[in-house]
Amino acid sequence: MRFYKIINDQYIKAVGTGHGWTEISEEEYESIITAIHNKPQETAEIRYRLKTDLTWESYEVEPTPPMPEPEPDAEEILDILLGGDAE
Amino acid sequence: MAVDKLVDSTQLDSDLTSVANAIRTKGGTSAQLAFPAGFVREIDAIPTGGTLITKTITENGTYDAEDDDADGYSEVTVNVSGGGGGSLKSGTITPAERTMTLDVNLGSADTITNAVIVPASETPLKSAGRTVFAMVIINESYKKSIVCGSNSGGSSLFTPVTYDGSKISQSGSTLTFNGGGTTSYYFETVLYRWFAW
Repeated sequence: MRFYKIINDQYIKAVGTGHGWTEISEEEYESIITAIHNKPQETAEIRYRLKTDLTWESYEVEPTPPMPEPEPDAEEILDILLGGDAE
Repeated sequence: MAVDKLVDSTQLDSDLTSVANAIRTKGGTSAQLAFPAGFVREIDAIPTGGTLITKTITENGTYDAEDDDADGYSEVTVNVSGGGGGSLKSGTITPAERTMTLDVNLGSADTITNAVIVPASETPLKSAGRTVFAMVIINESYKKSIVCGSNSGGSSLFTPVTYDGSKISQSGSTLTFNGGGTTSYYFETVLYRWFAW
């Protein structure tokens, strides 16, 4: 199996298996996966990006307003009216 | 005229009548037929079976013999290449950051007409925003896209969103899945499996 990583401007954007990008060893793949699983908790203002040395770098972002949820359909409205599960 | 055989005139009349009846039936007439001119005239008037040609088909489609100036095909040879539907391509990708688009590499620039991407994580997806649970692109040339997503926090699935346009695009060997749209969904930092053919 071929392992790869996608690097953009000194940051690891993704890893995967298959064709393309920068080939890496399985050991490096697993170490990046482990790093991704240990990503610090993000907030609305603070995000993290993974550096090539597998450390996380924080950066601030403008809080984005929450996107409106889709309107419930008739069945969901009926569930809500009847006391069913609502989001 | 050589006269060298005896003829049973009754039998001859009966046989000629049988032939005339067959000609009348085929020609759709009940007119009296005089032998031999009437027989010949009616037989000549019967339409032939038409012009049949052979044809080799190399592309999918609907074919009409009239377009080939023929009445039909006597033999058809079909030799349609598989195009983009011939081989299944697959792979995985785990984004390090939550993202609305994912690029995967097909390994070749073969035209893709169908694709699907799904998270392979058993860990419930948690997110501050909507999450892509599955994206399916069906029909030739991405004429229809279906995105299944969850609400914020991943506690419930939304009704799949169907797009008439494409939610993925192909540039050479790169296939891009795009969760954005009227209702935008994000790919989380979990393992996704993708298949394309």
